Amino acid sequence: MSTPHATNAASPTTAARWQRYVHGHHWRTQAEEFDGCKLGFWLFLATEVLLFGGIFCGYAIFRVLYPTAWAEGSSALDWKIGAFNTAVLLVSSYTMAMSIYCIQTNKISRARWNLAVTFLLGLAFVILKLALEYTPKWSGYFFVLDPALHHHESMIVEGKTAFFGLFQFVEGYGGKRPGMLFTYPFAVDPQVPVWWAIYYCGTAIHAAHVLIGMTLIARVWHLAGKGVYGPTYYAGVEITGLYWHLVDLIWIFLFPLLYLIH
Amino acid sequence: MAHDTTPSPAAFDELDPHHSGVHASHVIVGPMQLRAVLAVLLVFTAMTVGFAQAEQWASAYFGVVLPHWVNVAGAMSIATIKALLVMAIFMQLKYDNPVNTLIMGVTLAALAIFICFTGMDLFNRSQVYDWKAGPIVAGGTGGQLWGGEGISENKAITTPVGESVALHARNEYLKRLRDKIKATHPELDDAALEAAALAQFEADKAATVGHGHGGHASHADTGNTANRSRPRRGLSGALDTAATGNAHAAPAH
Repeated sequence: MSTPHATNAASPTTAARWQRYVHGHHWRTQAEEFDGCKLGFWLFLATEVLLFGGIFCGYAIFRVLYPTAWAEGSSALDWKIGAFNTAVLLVSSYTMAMSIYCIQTNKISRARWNLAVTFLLGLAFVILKLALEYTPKWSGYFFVLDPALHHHESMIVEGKTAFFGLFQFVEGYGGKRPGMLFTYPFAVDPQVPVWWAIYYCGTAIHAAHVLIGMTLIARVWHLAGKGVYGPTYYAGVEITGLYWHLVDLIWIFLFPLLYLIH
Repeated sequence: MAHDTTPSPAAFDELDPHHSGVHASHVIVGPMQLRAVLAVLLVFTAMTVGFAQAEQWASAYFGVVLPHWVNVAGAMSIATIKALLVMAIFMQLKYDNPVNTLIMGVTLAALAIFICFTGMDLFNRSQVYDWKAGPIVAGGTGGQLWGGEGISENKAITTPVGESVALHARNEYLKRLRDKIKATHPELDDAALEAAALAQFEADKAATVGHGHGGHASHADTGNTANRSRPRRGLSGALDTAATGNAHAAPAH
């Protein structure tokens, strides 16, 4: 079957894969296919905004009902980690956008470098969250290089370490867990477990999105290396970029709501 | 020119009636513009952090307490500006098919409706509680003035034995302290053991909570001196072992 509308199909023997790309037969042009692809993805992003919207509504409800629990919970978070992670995600959004620019201008190698940096920044975000925030708050184990550890020197339990000695147990710090799992002994407000439930819901669903985004970035990095993307065909990178920017967008709101407003 | 307004039939491609071609929707946003947006985003992040810090600093050292809505409105306005920048430039909505902007706009409008109706309910709860509680009549013990379970605003999460989770956590910690002290000082009687456990609890609490992370209100709460005291804000003190004051007034600091 002939494809009369495959306007950019070059010679199959010499051209790169993006040059040989032929859009679906149900589209009139490749531009329409690209637009349709983006339209569908924006609809998906709308559902994502509504997913996090539910969490933001929950945050608002419990904040109004238990303002003192919110003040107490928020004061247990370190704004420095939150601000650093915000910068990490903002820079990663920039490198993601740069990778699309590079592919549009046929600088595939530079595009892959930008994708790799975006991936590593995402990884840094997740590692910081796990090692410096989730682990100590949930279990009381601090990463030995955590600068916050020296605040708790008097409560260190000597010899009680985990994960090849990389984590040191601090008495009376952990147990800041959601709802029924809460075991932190020094709570002042009885509703503070509700704060931790909202905190873990919001940040863990966000972190799951970071991990999914990293998987998508690794995929387009791999495909870009095989010559799949180029100036006339890069829908995969564009869609991955939109997803990654949404992850950034959600964090732009989570950061002040959790770390800054008190 | 004539052929600009009335294209000849030969120039009309029925597969591409609007001449969108292959590249039409591919807008290239250049590196300088991307860098400028990144710089603005980072500056706004610094601003929102600085704003929150400045507010705490003013409250802790000068007693200037800004109304709460200032803090919320400031942080949320900055976040909204940042979000609009990310959507307009990084996500290219500014150059894109307007339908995509419409989708996001409708979604955000829906979200605004959710939050508005949630807020309308929340800020009128007190009227609902009053109405549900019914008229106050003479007689009875007055023990259930709020009507009972389900409409109580401060119903804590409870363990299966009906104890607040937070209180349970505190009691478990005290139990461990008593066991530890008993192991080293078996001669103590129950009252002395209890007192020693409570003292240790307060010392541990000061060591754990006292330093904080430089988190919010951590300085504002240390405002108690011999000449002035700041009342506890909104806390019942039900979980506090000290009779008065706050955790930061404890010694060991």
